[in-house]
Amino acid sequence: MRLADEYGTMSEIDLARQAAGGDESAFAEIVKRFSPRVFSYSARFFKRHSLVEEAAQEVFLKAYTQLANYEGRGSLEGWLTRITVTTCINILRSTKPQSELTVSELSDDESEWLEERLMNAASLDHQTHEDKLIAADLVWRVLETLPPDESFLIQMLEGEGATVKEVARMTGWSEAKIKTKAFRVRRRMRESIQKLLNAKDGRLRKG
Amino acid sequence: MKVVHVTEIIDGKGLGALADSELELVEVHAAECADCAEALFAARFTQGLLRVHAETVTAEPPAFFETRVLATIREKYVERLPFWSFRRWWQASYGMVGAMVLIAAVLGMLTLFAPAANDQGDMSSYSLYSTEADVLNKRSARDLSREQLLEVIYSGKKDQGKR
Repeated sequence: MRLADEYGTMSEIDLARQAAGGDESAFAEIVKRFSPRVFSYSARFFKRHSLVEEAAQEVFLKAYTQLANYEGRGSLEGWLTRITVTTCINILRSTKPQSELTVSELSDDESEWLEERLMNAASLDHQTHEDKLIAADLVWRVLETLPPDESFLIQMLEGEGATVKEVARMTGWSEAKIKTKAFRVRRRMRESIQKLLNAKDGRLRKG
Repeated sequence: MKVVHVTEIIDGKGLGALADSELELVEVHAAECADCAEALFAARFTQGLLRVHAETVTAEPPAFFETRVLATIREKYVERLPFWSFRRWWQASYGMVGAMVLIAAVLGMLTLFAPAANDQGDMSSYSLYSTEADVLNKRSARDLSREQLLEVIYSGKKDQGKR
């Protein structure tokens, strides 16, 4: 029997081999080591924490059944990230994207926040934590109108500042596919926001 | 003159990935084109929103998450044997068999190494009424005369004949 410390210092490839051979402690170490990253990526797809956790659990169940296929060519972390992205997209594929967000559907907080940003030259810097939460909530509602793969893509490219190559490594998609999708999703997202801003701006001018 | 709008550049590369020369071109054009100015404003606003969103999106695994994952794996994937399967009961009896082996080993050790309770020669194990006991209870056959010895031996037989 191995000591817990021994698993903690074991390399990724050794852990994967041990776990593939049925060593539960080795697999527990994999979950422990990589669950923060899996949670972080799952959180790009789901707003509710319970759904993030369900998705993360599904990711590790898949990883358990596919460990024998991991050959150690790339990092285990990268391999798990790809499984995370694919799993989350598959989970969300069965749910229909929300219809386009309109100004009338904005909450009072979102509406007020948007007005304030428009009056203050749309500055998004130096916001309070509460302001940031309102903005994040507004983004979630726009992202929910997009297909899950496009939603993830724009968050990575524009929100995280990831490059096309980095996204290709995360997802396993080709760079050409990413560029095409990125063009489409940037336009959709920009147009959605532009419509909200125009509608709000128009109301402000009328008011 | 054909007007070339810059929305293709904005949406194609994303504002963050534009080179300085490209950004300058976009800004110069936006200064003269109301549609592109609106698009540029919306693109900047969208990018800002997405960055704020990225800052707020965090999720930490709960405590004992790995324990829960392992429990689900056991429940879902570990082989389930039927109730009357010999292997199932054989596996279940490992503990009992182990305990029995341990008890047998302890008893064996005790038998080999513990001092015997009665290791000195004791005449009491012989029958008190046998002829041999009669003879042996005397110090030695040599201490008896031939007649006495015969008398001892045959007195038993006589007693038996009387009975």
